[in-house]
Amino acid sequence: MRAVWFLLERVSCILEPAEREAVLGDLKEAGEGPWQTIAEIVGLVLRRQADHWKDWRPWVAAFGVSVPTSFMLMGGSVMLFSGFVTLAQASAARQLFAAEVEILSVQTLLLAGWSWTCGYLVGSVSRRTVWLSIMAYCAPCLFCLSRFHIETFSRLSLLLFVLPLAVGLWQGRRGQRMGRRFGVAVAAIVTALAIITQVGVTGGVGNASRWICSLVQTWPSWCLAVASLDAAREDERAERSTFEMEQHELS
Amino acid sequence: MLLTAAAALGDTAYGATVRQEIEKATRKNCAIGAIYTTIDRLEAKGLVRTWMGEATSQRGGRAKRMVEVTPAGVKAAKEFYSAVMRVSRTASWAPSGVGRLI
Repeated sequence: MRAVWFLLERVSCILEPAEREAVLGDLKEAGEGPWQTIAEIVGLVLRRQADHWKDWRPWVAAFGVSVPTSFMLMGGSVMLFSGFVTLAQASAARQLFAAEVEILSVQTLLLAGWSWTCGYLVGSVSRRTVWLSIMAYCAPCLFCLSRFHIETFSRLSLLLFVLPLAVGLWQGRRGQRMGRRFGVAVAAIVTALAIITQVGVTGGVGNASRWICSLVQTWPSWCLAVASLDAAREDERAERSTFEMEQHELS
Repeated sequence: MLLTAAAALGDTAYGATVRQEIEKATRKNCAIGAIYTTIDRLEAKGLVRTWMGEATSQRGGRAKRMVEVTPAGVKAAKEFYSAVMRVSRTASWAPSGVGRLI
């Protein structure tokens, strides 16, 4: 019986604290047993999840952002890893060039920027359904990990983007409001890093598809910038209407 | 139905009492999940207002989520009731005279 109560405590932790309080109180008042209480709580959680999926945002976050960007970020990770391998070989041969180190540093920052903005976007768009977005990131990674065969590279070279992505997901999910200046600055920096990397790697011209791929990956950062501008505009409107109401009351 | 049950209960409307009222009226079991998700939807539409009430020993010291029907909720419930009455006018199970009064 103690195990059932323990299970009940664990299951009820899925609910928000205030709701857990009310629901457990209601079920206790109705005289429901522990098994019935567990079934009722699971039913409530399933209904809540079903409600979230009526919205378009979780679908876009999981299948419109997570899946395609996971492939792009894995590509970026492998490129960065190959850059590090080349640099290690060059430094072993005492042919270390400052330009190569610079490009590699910019590439590292770019991958971190791409990953963080992707994570933040997905986390903020699908706060309550973020588990599916995480699965949508994991599925392509597992697929690629199982088919990765480059002898000189570790399989982990595919996953260099995971840490900044996880940080972005966590911050986006917490609902931290991104300021207007910060949002625009992040988008501008990520775009600038993408351009610098391409100029550094290809010498300014080169492969058009690489340019396109690199710039396409900046779109999550621009989405965040637009969202931060919208949020700032809404705040201004709300402040103005509050001020007008106060003036009206005073007059 | 939840709006009507909450309005009828007045100051004592919260999850457990609303559920009990609905079960009594329908003579069927009602899941607590159905009550809470409906309350959330109605609250988002501005038809009810909720807040955390006091805790009682009967509830194991846990607080209640109190429910109050807003004026917009009363209006929506009245409109729905009128529509049901009008559409039931010619139904075989409707008592004679229903619908003409509305």
